[in-house]
Amino acid sequence: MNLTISTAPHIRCKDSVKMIMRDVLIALLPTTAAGIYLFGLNSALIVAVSVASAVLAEFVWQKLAKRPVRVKDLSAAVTGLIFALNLPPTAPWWMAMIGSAFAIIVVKQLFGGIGDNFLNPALAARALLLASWPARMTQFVLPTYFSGADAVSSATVLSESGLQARYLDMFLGRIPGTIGEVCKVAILIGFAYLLIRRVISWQVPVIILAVVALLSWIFGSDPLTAILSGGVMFGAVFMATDYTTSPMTAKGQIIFAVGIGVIIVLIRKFGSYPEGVTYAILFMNIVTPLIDKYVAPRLYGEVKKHA
Amino acid sequence: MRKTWTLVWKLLLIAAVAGVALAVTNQITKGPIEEGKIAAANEARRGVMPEAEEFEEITDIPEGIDSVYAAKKGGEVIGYTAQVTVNGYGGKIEVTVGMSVDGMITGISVGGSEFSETPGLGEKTKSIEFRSRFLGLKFDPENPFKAEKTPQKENEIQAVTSATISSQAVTDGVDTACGCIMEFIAEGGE
Amino acid sequence: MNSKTKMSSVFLNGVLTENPTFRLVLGMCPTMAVTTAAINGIGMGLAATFVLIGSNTVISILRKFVPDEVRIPAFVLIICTFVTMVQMLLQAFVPSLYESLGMFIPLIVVNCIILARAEAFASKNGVLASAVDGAGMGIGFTLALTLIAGIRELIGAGTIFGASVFGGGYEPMLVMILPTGGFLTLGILMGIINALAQRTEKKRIKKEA
Repeated sequence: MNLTISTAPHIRCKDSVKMIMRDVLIALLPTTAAGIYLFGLNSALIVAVSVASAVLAEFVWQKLAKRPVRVKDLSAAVTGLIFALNLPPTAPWWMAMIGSAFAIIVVKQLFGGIGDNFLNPALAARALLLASWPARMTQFVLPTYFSGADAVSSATVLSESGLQARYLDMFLGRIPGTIGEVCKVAILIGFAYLLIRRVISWQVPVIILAVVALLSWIFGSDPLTAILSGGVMFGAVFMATDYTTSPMTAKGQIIFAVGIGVIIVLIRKFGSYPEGVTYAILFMNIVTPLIDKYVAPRLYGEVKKHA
Repeated sequence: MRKTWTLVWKLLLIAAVAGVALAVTNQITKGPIEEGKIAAANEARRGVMPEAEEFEEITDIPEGIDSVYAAKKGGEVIGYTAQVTVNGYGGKIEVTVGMSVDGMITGISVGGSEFSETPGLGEKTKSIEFRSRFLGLKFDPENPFKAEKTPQKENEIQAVTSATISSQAVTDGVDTACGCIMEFIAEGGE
Repeated sequence: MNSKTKMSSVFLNGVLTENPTFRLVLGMCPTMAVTTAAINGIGMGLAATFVLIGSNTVISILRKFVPDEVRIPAFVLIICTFVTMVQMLLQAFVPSLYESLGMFIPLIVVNCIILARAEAFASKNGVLASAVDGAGMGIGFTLALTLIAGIRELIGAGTIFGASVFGGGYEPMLVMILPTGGFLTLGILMGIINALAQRTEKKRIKKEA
């Protein structure tokens, strides 16, 4: 007996993928707009280059591999956009291009295309760039809108030497960071939209944020700063909720979310990197098949072993 | 039983021939290997003390220092080199500092067989660009050198971008080595 | 004539058909570890080639002398001797290469290619064929390592054999000379080679049909 398990909807058609992806794009709009507004033209260029090269890479690959061309399902555009929002606003255009192409071709298509990749493509690409151009990838500046034309190089809030931003600044995005992660209001608007459209469930993001806040508090840091700074909120809402790379059952998703929260705090607290969201989510992506294996849904009619 | 003995003497014979072959190779290569080692060590010391003609090892050295050499020119001591090992980001780093008798740093070298800092980041502490930041500086035990992202004071060294840990480790090594050499200079001056 | 073509097919077998890296997937540890610069790839490859030719020849000469029961210890002993000789010679005459290959020279002993060829080929074939097999496998290994190392050095450091290629404006993609880059390069190359092999195979079948 070889049954496959999968989450609803069980009816697979192109339109359902396209509808979900369109909703994700809409949910990402406020964050994207806020990022461009805060950091200026270069971030708009990065977003454009990144989305365009993701879609182009998918198209070219599917043509070359003689597979059905499915760029119209918008999933490549979503990957490109999420990846762009993960870049620092000072990133050069070629980094956006290389990253998007890597995300689509190596991480997504080489492993079988949509639904078969085992890592979140945007995050894997970010990790690749972080290892390739560490200096450029960690060059964060204060939003140009607030500091005039001369952007000052500055550390993330997470590193001790960084500026102690007030909660409101962190909430509105008046802090250095990647294009998409700084403005928390915009992320929350996107989150609300995704919840209303029932694209994602609330558990994963909320549990990640709760675990990060709780553990930071136990380790003696300010819990509110912990969830308002860095990429926790952006990662929790838009990247940990990726269908393909997160567990299928509700119970599995809880384990997944708790795991991400714990690893984020551990990396922040004991690692040599200031931020650990990328690696936390990637790590739990890899563990996902294992979680799915051990937390398989119980079949109806099966008798509990220890009733 | 007879069979076992066959196995034994055949293996022994192979081992003996192998041993002879290795002994011959060793005989041929022993000389060049030794010379190479000495030349490499001298080269490293000359790198931090270009003016010296010969080096003389000082055996009575404080704990925590790997080796100290007196650099001589025309029979006169013109400076010292000291080597220390520090813990970097990826592993142990050997830092050698050369200092002339007037207390000026004539050069530092970074490396060692266990050097394993991240390529492109901490590895850049090996680069001439970073090492030259110490050139010509005078060491003040009260204000030892520090690696900083944005150096402002005189004793602050510009760290390699995004590699503060490796830079600080090397800088700590320089501090220890300088402190040691200063003592030798003070003793020699008396 | 006949034996000549046989020899060349034994040689080409190691270089192409059964390329140790891309087709047999043997000796992955040194492949991943030393291929950060093209010169290291060549150095490692040639050192392994020397050991392969030597051990294959000697093992083939001794193939009737060595009893079956102790053949593995005897092979290992012979291989170790050659590796130690290579190590001493490199240290004496090419110290810079010795330093950059480091602990991977002694590890040639446990490189699966060498024991595999001893067991699978040299202990069953004549001296000349075994030497040619060693050379073929060694050259195949060297070419594969140099290719991987060349790609990694070019992208990861912007140089080839230490010479700058792209000029000063190029910002090297560091990940390529980190272990991750080794796996990425090897995986992609292997994919391309498998695809090519499949295509030629299909063509051959079509021709024959």
